[in-house]
Amino acid sequence: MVLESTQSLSASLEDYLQAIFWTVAAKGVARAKDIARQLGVKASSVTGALQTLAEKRFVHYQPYEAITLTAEGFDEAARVAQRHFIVREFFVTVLGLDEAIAEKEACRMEHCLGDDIAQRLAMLMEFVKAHPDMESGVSQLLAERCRSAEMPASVRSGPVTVADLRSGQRAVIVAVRSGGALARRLVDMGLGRGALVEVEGVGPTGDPIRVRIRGYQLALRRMEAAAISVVGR
Amino acid sequence: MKSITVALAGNPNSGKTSVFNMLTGARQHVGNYPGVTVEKKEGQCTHRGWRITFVDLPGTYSLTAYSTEELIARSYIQEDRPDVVVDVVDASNLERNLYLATQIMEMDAPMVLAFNMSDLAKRRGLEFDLTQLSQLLQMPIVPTVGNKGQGRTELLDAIVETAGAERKERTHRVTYGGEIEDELLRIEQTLGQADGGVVARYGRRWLAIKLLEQDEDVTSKIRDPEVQEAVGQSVAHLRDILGDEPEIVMADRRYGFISGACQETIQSSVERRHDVSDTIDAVVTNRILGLPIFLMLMYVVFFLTFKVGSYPMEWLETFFGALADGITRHWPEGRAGWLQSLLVDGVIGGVGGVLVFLPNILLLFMAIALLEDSGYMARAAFVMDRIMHKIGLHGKSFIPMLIGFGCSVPAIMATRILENRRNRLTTIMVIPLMSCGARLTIYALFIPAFFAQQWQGPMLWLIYLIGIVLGIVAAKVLRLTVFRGETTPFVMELPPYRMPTSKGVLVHTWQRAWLYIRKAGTIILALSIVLWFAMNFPRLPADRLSGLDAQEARQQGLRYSTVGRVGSAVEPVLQPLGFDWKIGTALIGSVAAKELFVSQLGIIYAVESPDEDSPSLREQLRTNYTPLVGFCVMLFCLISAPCVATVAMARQETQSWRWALFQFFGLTGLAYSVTLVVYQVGRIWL
Repeated sequence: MVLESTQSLSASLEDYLQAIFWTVAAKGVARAKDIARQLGVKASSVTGALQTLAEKRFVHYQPYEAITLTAEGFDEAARVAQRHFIVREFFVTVLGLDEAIAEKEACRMEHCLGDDIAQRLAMLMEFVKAHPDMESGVSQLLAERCRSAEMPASVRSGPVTVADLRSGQRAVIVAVRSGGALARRLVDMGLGRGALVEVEGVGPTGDPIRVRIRGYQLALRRMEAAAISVVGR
Repeated sequence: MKSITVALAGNPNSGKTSVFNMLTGARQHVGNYPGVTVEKKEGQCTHRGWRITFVDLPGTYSLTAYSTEELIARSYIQEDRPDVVVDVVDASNLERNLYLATQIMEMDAPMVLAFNMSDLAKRRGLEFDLTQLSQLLQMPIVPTVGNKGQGRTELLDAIVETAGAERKERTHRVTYGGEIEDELLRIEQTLGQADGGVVARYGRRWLAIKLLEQDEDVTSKIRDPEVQEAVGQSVAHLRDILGDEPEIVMADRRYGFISGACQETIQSSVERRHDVSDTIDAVVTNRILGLPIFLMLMYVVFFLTFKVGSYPMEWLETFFGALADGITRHWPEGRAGWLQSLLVDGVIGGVGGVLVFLPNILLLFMAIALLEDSGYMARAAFVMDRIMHKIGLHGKSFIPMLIGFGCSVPAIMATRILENRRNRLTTIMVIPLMSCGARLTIYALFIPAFFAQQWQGPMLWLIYLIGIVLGIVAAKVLRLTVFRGETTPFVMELPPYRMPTSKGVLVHTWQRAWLYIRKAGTIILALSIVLWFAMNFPRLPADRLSGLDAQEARQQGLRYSTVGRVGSAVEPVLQPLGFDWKIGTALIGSVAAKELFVSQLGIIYAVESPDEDSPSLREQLRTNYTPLVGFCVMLFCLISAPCVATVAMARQETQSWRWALFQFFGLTGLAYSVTLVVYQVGRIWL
């Protein structure tokens, strides 16, 4: 999934968008004071940023009313959140960095990293996870996998799916990618775009998994979870 | 008296069944397990001069054409046009529960919302502005607590009022956003020229929505090529601009509508935090502890059923024995002796033989009810799914199969917990391969007769193992052939743990036990009588009885009867398996009940009071057959022809003689081929 930015935003506006994205995912709507508190800024600067974001049609915003994201705003925020998640996970799992440092670096890099680079990082991370004792041929294998039509499901449906999340991790669903009845069933059960999902645990053999969605607990097999693309937090 | 019909809709685990019971007073299954209500149930009550008939729809999360239950619920609302649809929602889990409500709203059915488990929601710190929510959804909302009987009068008032109210067009409804609404309008307009009957019945907008969702059922109803073309274009256009199937985006928008409504009307005073339910789950579904806990619980269920149950079972056996003795003793000498035998051997022997299992059945169903009502059953399926999925079954299939080691009859009844029909049928078909308790008597007779002490244990183990392996293979084969189809998604709700109520468990247990008793009273009685006649008629002519003692008379009588004749007639067929007419006759008798095999064989060998421990019978077997034949007999008994009670139950639960007979002959055929190969190959080696 190569995503291209339609309108570039400044790093600070991207931060605002992120704050709105996560607040909306958790609460349904965001309010100016939530965002000010989350970013540690004054309410007055929030208003200015919101107006700019509204002009760019990323958010629905009227003064004194709840803020929600437009479809474009959601996509843009999801892209940034995706990059953030990939970079941090890459730093932790591949480079073996400390979580706190990884988080801090990811906060900076999420604004400037290209989507295609983020995707390659995700694939490399996938590969390293699958081959703990990998020795050589990483770049060769990556090239092969990019060319190959038969990429693993986790790569095909976007870098990260519910199946990739660890216990306790939260993520926002961006798309459900599978055919007919299964996709509909998943969305009917509330696993739709924009919903916040948390992995609560895995079964005795690592499959199925337990997730919390819209306030209730749901069990699903890994192969089903792999159809749900998310951006992790 | 004026009468109205009310349909009860709702999610599984919303407490719909308990609301149904509260309204109608019907004693009916109250579960805590997704998909517990599969069949349609009806009940009645009167309220303020109205006779109200309630129809309990299957519990569903949605109303698509993808599942039978959803289709049933949907077509009942559409085709039968109930006066009111009551949607029972779990107030503590509102968002997902209202999803179904938005879909019923779209069908323009007059609705009442029962806000069930409102006490639980309050305890979780949720506060609702019901007045505002009621305005937003344009339907009355009544808080209820089904299992405590709260809110009954208010709900009935709302139902009567809604039934009598004039129907108004909905002004508030789910709007799907500019692009989709445009296409909906376009389809609605083309529908204007299409078949008027269909449009009038289902409503223009609902049809347009379903067509855009590419609903199979609705699409097949609209044959107009013009409409089909318009729908095709709309779908392609939307797929293009939305980057997803319209169906998926529309489902998302419904949740959007709900989020909006909830946002304005629900206040949550406490943040969701780790509760008891989460803690239990952390242990019970744990990677390391999950399976041991499950196996331990299953052992407890098994122990409770067959060990604790064996005491009352003995009392019942004694009772039926005494009853049979009493009749024999008080029967007028020499008068209609055949009637006495029919009563004692046929009726009491047949029905009594099944009813002695009643304590086991009661205990078993009580254990299952406890597991279901507490919410553990869903976790059991979660823990076992990986293994069962490999053979094409669902995690839940494990439970009936385990029960099968006790008795196939309750095991087949327990398959009701499976939602998917193909899964359920496959499970029913293989259940008799889980060697039941009655077959143990056959092994107990044969193994010591043919095998040395140190081989007896492994031999028994081997027989059970063969059954399990055949069961797994058969399930896999059936899922690839007769019951082919994509495996059902596992996607299953794990409801919060709840303390089961004693009333719920008792009602639940009794209902299933009653079904079993009714079965024993009808089909099994009938089949027992038929078998009795086959074993006693035609009778040996009086002149051939002279000079025989009682045992010889029984032996000759059985040989002369229909069963004996059939046993002799099939001898050529059984010869390749190493069986003679004696085994053949006993096998036919064992169709009535597996344990009859032993007593039949005893009669044939003219052994006094034959049972599985009788040394003289073992002696006879040892002199007449080789160990290979002995093994083949056990093998054949393990696999072949389930007993009449099982056949009757399979008929009842599959609702078709076809599947019951398929199972009967399929297993017998399998037994024949497996035994044939073992005997023929064994003969070369041994």
